[in-house]
Amino acid sequence: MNNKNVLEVENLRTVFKSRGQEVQAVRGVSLSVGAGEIVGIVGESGSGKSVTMKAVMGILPENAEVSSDAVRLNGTELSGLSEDEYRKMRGKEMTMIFQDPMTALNPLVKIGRQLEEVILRHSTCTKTEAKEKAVEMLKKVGIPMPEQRVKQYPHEFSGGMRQRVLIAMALACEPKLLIADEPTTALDVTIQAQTLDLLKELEKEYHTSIVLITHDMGVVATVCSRIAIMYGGLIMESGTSEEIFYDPKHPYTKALLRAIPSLELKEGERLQSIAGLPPSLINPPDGCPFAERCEYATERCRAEMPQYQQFSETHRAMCFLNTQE
Amino acid sequence: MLKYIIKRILQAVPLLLLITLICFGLINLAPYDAIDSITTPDMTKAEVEAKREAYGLNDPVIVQYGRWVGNVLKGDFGYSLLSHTSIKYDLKIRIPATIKLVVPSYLTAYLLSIVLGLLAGSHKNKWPDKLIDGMCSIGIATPTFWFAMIIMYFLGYKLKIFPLMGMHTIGLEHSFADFMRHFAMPYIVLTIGFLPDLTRYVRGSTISQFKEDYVIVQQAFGAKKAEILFKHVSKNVLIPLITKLGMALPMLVTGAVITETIFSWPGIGPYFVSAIQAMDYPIVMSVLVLSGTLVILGNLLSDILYCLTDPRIKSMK
Amino acid sequence: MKKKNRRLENVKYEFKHNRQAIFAAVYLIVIICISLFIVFVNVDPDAIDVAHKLQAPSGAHWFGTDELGRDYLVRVLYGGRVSLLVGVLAMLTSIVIGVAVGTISGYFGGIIDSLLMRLVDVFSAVPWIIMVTVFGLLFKKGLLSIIIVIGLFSWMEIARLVRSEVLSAKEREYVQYARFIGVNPFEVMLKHVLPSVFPTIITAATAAIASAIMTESALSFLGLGVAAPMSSWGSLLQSSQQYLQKAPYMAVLPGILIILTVYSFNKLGDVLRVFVEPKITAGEKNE
Repeated sequence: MNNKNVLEVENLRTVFKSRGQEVQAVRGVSLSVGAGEIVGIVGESGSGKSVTMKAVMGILPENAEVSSDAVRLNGTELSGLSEDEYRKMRGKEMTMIFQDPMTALNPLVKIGRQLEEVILRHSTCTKTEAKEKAVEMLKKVGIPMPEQRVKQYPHEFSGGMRQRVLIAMALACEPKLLIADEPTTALDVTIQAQTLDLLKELEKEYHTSIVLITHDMGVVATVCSRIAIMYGGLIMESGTSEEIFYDPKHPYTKALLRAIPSLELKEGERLQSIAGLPPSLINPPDGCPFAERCEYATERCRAEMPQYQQFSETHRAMCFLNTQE
Repeated sequence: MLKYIIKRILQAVPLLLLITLICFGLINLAPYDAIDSITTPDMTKAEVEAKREAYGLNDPVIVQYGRWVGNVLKGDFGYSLLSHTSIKYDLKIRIPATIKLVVPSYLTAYLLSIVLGLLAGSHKNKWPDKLIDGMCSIGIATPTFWFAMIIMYFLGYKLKIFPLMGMHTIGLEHSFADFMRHFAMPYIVLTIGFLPDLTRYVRGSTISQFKEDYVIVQQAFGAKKAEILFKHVSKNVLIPLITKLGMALPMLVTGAVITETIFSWPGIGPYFVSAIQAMDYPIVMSVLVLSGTLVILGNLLSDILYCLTDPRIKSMK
Repeated sequence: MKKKNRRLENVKYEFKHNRQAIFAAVYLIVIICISLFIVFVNVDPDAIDVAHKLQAPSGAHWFGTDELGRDYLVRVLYGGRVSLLVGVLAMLTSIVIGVAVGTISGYFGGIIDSLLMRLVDVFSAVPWIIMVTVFGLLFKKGLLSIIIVIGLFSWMEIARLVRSEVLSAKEREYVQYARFIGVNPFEVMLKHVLPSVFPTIITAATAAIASAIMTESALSFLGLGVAAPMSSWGSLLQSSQQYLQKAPYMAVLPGILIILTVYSFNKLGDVLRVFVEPKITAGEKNE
């Protein structure tokens, strides 16, 4: 495999157990993230996109069972690590920021201290140096008057500013991989764009690889070089942005693209939503999970799980439709 | 923030009035005539009537209420029906005795509950949690007086380590060691009595804090479980817990009624219980007004403590 | 419908996999059956036998005899009838008051709501021991007044729960619609609200029984509750206090039965809570 890949995941599965029931949230996901690359994972809520990345981070709740053929970060196999070794990878090698910046910071601890804590944990600097670094990081993510801001509590920051603080925290340790789980969903539209720009800038400056989890095709279009489309705990299609946007192969991808609002929409034309609901993951269907909602679905789609079809070195999709071609 | 506190104090005033109104209403509803506390059976009807007039008992109810509130504000709670002693004087002796018992017990239970609650909450469904939570379930189901009897039987009757009742041995009123020997059993009973509820509370809020987003964020930044517990979760658990201290204010009077009664501790407990049994209304009403007032003051205090400790409210001014 | 089944499944799962819950359920069934059917057993709880007073447990009297030579086990089991009866009736009283106050408060809103809610605040603020004893003075002594007094001081939580349920039901479309077409919306709401608060009430009810039994025992122990010739677990403990040195076994049985009963009702409430709030696990409170 490619040695330049920062993250390689092969056949990752996650099952949640609760009260005798099993929810198969992730059912065999493989993906890779190259150095300095921004990869988007797109899917509806419940498609398993967050769970996949939390499994990589090793921060799922205790009732989750994760199995995989391989999860490698910079060539280090993660699945065999002890709890403590795994913990040391987090923050320093890889880190994650989340959807709701309003609740992601401890409300009772000053911003500066929360930053310093992370900095001190992963480097050998002194307390004073950590303080300086905290101010410097806030400045880098575009927070005005950082010297005063470090003394404030989270509630004194707006949502967009808090997400910036979290990005600063994430980058303070210069991780190789940053996972951003719907980082803009809870923010206003203008703030969304600013936050995405910030992520792009930082990727250039630090060469951090970024995995961007979102349900918004518009968001991935602006920043990602490669995209994976997830549905029902599986990757339906993956490819470069161009391949996904200009040559989508999977009916689900096509449906998602039709659901993007666009300025070019003509009068009388309607946005197309996807009818139906995602499949239950408690007893997932044998066949393609999208079959129930797919306009092209045949008997075979419902009975049998399709294999991946390779269209280019980077582009593949999990659908019978293109097999006959 | 000062503004907020002043506002809260002003809000407490009508509630206090309501409490006194309820108490006064109860006195008047009760099958009891206030004149009985001043007269003796050998007085003639005319004498009683004269007294009645002199004490203003023939005035309209509203005037009587005003005078009663005025007296209570001055600290004059009236006289006991039975012993004809000044209630104010009785309370002055008995409240300190109750405080001597309740404060150490509550503080011990408070500190222990923090340790046990954080331990259980951070090990949810593992053995320390199962043990602590199980003990709490049993503790909550155990009547204080039954536990007191068991302790009394073993430590008092069988092993004869501690004296069975009272606060002092007669003649040894100034001996601290003697006080401690009397203090030990009620202290143990009361501490164990306070503990399960407080521990449950700390455990519950620890568990819900561990579900907060900032915990998973801290995990993603490589924090150790101990760091998350001590640097982040504990802060969020303990600040609301401080408000419990304010709420505990009424306990200074009524926190140990049962325990005191069993061990004949000369506090409010036996005083109140015997007043109830003897239908000594003025005493009952005094304790009611006192504890009602402390409840309101306690709520006020806990609000103020919350203001002082939580930065989110502090900055709202 | 599907969702409801899932909730039932959760409760069933808890019962199957939670040993404490199984124990609680079995214990409660046994103690309730004993209390119901002991009258048909040919034993007299009041049979005095002074020659055999204060005897330690033996083959003839498994838990010994009391100060008048009465069989203690039989007396305790008869005492349980009173304790459980007080528990259940006080619970019913508090549910009636709680549902009434909660519904009126939520339905009418405005000044009525804020007045009733202040009342709830006052009632829940003053220490129960003070309130219960003071109100006890206003009633004649007897079982009925104990039940009423305990019921009067445990309805607040139920009122709060019902009120919030009513408030959300009021906004629902069918209630608005009923108002629009002139059907009495109060009636419509009661029809729809009561079923939806039913599980919540059941959960609160088990906790209410537990706390009523505790309150009754404390009152009786202080001599303010059940009085001779009737006896409950609390009053049995009160009389056992005098004989603590001579006959400590008299303190053991009623105490253990109180603990087991209260514990079991609380456990049952925890498990039923899973039905109301499917996301929690038994024994966990959202505080």
